[in-house]
Amino acid sequence: MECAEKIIINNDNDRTSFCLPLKWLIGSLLAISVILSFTLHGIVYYIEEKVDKNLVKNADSVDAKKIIKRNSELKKSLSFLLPNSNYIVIDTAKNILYLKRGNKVIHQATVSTGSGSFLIDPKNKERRWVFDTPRGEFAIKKKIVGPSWVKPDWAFIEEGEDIPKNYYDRFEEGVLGDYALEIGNGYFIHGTLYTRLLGKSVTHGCIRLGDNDLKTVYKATSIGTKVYIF
Amino acid sequence: MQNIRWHLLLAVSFIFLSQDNALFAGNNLRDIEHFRKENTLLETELRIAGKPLTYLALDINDKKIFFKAKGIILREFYIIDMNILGKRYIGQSYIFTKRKALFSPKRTEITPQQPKNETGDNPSSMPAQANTFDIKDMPTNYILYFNNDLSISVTPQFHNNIFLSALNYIKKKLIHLWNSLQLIWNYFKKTPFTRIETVMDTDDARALYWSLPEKADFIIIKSH
Repeated sequence: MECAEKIIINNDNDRTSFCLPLKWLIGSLLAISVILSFTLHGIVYYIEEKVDKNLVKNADSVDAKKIIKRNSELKKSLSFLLPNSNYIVIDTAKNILYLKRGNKVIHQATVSTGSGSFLIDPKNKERRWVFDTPRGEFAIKKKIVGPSWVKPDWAFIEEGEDIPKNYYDRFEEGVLGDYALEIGNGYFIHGTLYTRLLGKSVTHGCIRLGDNDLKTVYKATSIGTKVYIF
Repeated sequence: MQNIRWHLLLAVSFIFLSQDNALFAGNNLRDIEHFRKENTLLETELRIAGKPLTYLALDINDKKIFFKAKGIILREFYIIDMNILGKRYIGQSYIFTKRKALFSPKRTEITPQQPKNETGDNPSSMPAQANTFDIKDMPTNYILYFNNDLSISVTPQFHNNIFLSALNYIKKKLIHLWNSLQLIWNYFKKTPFTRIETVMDTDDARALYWSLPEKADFIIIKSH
């Protein structure tokens, strides 16, 4: 028999040895761990039950009619938040734009969103840009046909060019597609020359769309249309 | 005889109506409790839906996490397995504070192109390059921390990989053991404590990590 431990007792006249079998040791350890696990679960269950009972005990008794009336008022208020016209939802994880009305998807398009990378101005290390597409609730502030790109400082730095002193030197034509929808803080939903990059996170924060999808979205929206980005 | 019939009919109707009312009253009490809880939840949701941020809602009955804005469901994330330890206040809002992953993705820096030389040609033929973030770079094993000591641990479910599945199972059990001990500790300390342990599909786990904005609100709901 395999021994986990051999116990030897030495008396003056006698020498006795006991053998503790390995399977006994493993068995006891398993039994102890099972008992401990059950005890732990028991304590956790007791605490959870107590928590639930306390929550019920703390419940206020309020007039039933008032509760029901308040319930319908709250539901109405929440439903008023839902835009009653078309709205745009952009999923930056999937790079998909949904044009929706109510809970129905009217149009779906593949987009390009922010790359998440950053750029530091080599001449001034304190100037830093992070190219994320902003998340949250926005609204279309401006609708532009045939937009020109007014290149920001980072565009010149990225291309290794000097930042122009003349404002009009910043204009670049034909890079934003046929339409642009401004959603605030310099972010736009616009077209792209790089259609093969649609579906990827490659932009400087703007949302790029293919030509046909851009036209559909432009026509279906107006100033004030809500845009939800997540 | 006619009178007796009428009396009998009235008595039966009265008994029937009173029984019906008693049943209705019993249902009413349950309904009122349901309405009361729903009101608390709606009040919280109305308050956080007023903010221009997306928020998270965990449905503990349907095992789903919703990404919402203005009460609109933007996306649903399915939870394969879920366990909640500690207080689960339906209708209380929590604020997302930080995320923690063993291998969290790092932002990459864009290297600007070399300046153009005198002839106007660019010495570097390569355009400005950056290794962009991708959804596949996002971790699948992570913890999301909220205020009031609430956290959500996300563990992925691996299909067709016995080794990773076994590792995941051990990790899940260890986290549960650790959380159970913490629950007992916090109970005696009388401090708030809620741990939500979830198992999600790898794509959903990555998308949740990617999409969750800083300071987003979080609420726990019960669908029915």
